[in-house]
Amino acid sequence: MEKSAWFVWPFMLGFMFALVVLLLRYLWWLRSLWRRPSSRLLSRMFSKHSLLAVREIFSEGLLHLRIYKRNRRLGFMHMSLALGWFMMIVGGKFETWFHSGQFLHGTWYAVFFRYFEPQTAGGWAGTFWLHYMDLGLLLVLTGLALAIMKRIRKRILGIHSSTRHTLVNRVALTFLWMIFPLRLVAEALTFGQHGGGGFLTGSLGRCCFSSGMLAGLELPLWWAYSLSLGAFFVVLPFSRYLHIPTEMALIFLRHWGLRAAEDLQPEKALQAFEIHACSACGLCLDVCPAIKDHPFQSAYFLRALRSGKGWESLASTCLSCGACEEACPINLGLEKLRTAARGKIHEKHHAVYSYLPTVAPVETSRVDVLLFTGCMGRLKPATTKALKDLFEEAGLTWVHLDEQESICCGRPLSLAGRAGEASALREHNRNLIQGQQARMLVTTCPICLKQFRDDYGLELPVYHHSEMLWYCLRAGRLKREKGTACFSYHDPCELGRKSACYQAPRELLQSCGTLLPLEREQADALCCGNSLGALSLSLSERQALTSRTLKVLEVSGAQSIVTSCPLCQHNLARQSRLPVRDLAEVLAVTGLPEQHGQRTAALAAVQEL
Amino acid sequence: MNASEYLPKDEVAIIGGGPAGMQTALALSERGFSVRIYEQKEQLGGHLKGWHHLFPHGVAASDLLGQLKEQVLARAVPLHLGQSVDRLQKVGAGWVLWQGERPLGRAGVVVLANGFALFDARRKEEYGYGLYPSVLTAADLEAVFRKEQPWPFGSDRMAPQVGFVHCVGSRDLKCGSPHCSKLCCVTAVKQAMAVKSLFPEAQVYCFYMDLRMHGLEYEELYRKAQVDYGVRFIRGRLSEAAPGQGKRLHVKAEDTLQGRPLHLQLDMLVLMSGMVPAFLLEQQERAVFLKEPVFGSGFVPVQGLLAAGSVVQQEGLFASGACKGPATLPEVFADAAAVAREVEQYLKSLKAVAHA
Amino acid sequence: MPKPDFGFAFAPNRALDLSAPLLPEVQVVLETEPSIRACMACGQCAAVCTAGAFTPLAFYRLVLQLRGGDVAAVGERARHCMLCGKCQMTCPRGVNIRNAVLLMAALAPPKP
Repeated sequence: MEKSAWFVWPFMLGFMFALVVLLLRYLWWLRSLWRRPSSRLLSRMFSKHSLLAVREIFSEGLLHLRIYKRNRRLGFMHMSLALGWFMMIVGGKFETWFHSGQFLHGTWYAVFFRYFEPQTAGGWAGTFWLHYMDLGLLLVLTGLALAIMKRIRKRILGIHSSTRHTLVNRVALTFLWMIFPLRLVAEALTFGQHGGGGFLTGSLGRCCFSSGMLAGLELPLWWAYSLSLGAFFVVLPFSRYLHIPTEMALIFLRHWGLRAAEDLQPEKALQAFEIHACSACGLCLDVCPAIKDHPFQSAYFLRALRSGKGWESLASTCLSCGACEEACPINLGLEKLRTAARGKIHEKHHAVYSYLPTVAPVETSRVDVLLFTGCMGRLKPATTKALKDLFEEAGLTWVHLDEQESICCGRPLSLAGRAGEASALREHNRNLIQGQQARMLVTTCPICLKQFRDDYGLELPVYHHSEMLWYCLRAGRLKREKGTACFSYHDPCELGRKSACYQAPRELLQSCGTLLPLEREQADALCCGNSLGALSLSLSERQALTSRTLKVLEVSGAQSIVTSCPLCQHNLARQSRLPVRDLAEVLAVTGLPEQHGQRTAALAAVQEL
Repeated sequence: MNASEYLPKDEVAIIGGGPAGMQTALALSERGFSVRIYEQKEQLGGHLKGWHHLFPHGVAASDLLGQLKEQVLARAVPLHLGQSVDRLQKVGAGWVLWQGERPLGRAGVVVLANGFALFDARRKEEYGYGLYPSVLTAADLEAVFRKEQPWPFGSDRMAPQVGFVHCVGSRDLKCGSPHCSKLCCVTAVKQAMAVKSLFPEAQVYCFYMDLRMHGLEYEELYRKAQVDYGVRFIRGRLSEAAPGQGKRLHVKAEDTLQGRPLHLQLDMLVLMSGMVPAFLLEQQERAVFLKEPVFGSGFVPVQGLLAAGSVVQQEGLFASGACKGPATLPEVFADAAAVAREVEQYLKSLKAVAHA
Repeated sequence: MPKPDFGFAFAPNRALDLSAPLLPEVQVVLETEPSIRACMACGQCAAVCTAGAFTPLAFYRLVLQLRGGDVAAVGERARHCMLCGKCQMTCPRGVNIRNAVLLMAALAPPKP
């Protein structure tokens, strides 16, 4: 039956070491929970939430469905590595149980089972387990081959950028890559010498390793296998492979209702699990608008948080466009982490708004729409005018809440990580809004929209003007005929990814013209470069991003670029060859009469001569 | 290759029939060279056609333009009007001028004199150009002076409130124009005085960042505007134009010297749109393209220690006047003479090589 | 020979002493956000300022005061900013005003 051998010790020591370190780290991260156990967490622990967590671990931790949806080849690579390994772990347990009739063994027994029991009989069931284990191994080896290919030529895996790793991660990677080929060769040699084996190891053993001269190599190979496993486990808790157990723990904790803190605590509670659950899969790299210029992508940002070094500049140059969070296969709260980091950098910033006058709401008659154009809206008189014309056309009554003076909604402070400081601003605006009688609040600024919706707790519904115009169109209050105009539409980050509003602007544009498909749009759209998220990105860096975004938007056939955010429009219009207009301007009968820039028009006239 | 073989009969082609082009043509013609002018419009004159009167002395623009045209006609400089050169092809030591697929002519030397464009004020939407009828550009105001366009306020308003905004689309990195357009300051002073002459009761304000009165007698004009005309100069920027009382505009600004915000109602807001490149010079090995400018593209680059006209990297290609950067008329005229001298030297050296 | 003192001199704190070196905390702000140096005090930031309608906040003046070494006043004033970013959007010199304000606001400790 079970016989022990010295060569299992490297594996056992490494494995025990990893277990102890992991346990200590997790307990440390959860220290606040021990002190103050949350009743919600406990009640959820023994409920369907745990089952939901198991399901998510299966679909994301093993099958990697979200990666697969974004990039099939990359998804298959991750799936084959994780699922194959999982098959072997589970299969090993069952196989030893089946053959020994005993469920509990030393951990090493299943791992090195082939060495100890090379000639297991067991009829068809025994044969099944042999082939099953080989299938798992084959799956892992396929994934490994893809991973190696990814390192050599990443385009094969359909990606442009892959993460650059630190030394400890490269060491861990080397051991990980060695484990499975060594297991294959060790098993094949054992079967070659003793006969038997599945379709992979058995066949390989019969054709390559049956010579008696190789018998002396059997034990050294199993040693090498054990050593690489042990070494991998020793570096695991200090490398990015910590993500393997941490991701599973994170999924459980999230399902049990744990939420990330607002302030930066990289070694505490859910934030610690989020920061360490990143596998650096690289999906956040290709989607980042600044991938060619800056290293602030989430994979690097999280790595900097793990090491505690250099995260400050990465947090304050990032645009907070949300593209990485959208792409992240394990749904890490990356935006929240970034704002938390910015808040930490500027923790000495304390705002004072005691100078604000108290608002005495003026009694007004009930109107349909309360219009709020926001700080930036003031710089866009054409948008405001167009929207008011459209209100008239749709027969809606309205009050322009901030026609004279207004104050900021508070979101820019939140994006800088100082959300708490904005409470006075929110209070002020809330009083102003709730003092009015209206059916809805409409804003032309997606930044205000998000803030009003998420953080104001208003009694009346809040809409972006594109949503409201869309409702009017569908209700027949606005009628448009399809013209010959061709548009390309720029999705503002705050409206698209942050507020999931993609359909309304598109249908509005399609009602009056042709909307051209773009290389990157909707959730994959590029940031205009003018994001309020970035604090220390210089003007020239921003302008470089803008010109890249414009390249996507200046698709052939487009006569004008349309967007629905005053910041995006302001920024794009300054740099664009094509006219850049707000959705409302396009829809309104009255807009800027002649849209082409003088230079463009002059040149067109010249070319006609 | 024998350079003289490719030297066409007409030695110099000048692209652009504005003040720079005409003056360069005259200077070269006086030196005995045969010159041709290619002008994209149907008339000579360039931006000067649209001007009413000129700083600092108030000379009528049409008088100066008339004189220039007369001299060009007197010297019988061949004119190719309505011809827009968009490509120069190097053949031997000379050039072939193209408009699309049509060759327009040949020349040993080409002088770019196709001037500047005005910044499109629509790009600064906050000032409401194209949205509010009472927002004009400086060029529009000249048209008003020339009676080609009506005043944007009713004839009943005898004491209009008028604001001039300096540096619209110049000294502005966000607009891709880092340079100072340099003659908008004095133009605003000139126009403010003109408005005051026509409406003595008017209140006229100039919103400036820095007043750059660099030219001869400009500073005197500034003082005159202050003292004799009562024009008020406010060092500060305008925030945005919004609809005000009646047909007026409501504008907000910062008075940086007082350190206080201010707001006022205006009957007319004049935007001093800066000078920006009219075309983008794209240089290839044996061809030069005149393309539509893009964001941040600069004026024509020239080489030399001080003011020079020889275009960087292109032998036999010169640039004259405001296509090299903002310039006033006296500067354009002085530059034309300097460029003509440089062209003469170049052609002489070419002939010396050919004879040798 | 001692110079005669006629009793006339600049009142203390009246004049800026340009020969004195910049305060280290001012230097840190200027180095962390180098775009502040590009400010030409045109006043565009103050013209569009949302908070400026209610309180004497003008970024270009903060820059002048910062260079003058009046860190307490700068910190105090900067805390009135709402960080809305309108000034940054219109600044012709591309100063990262929001970042600068955050750094400036940290110069003065909050009053209890």
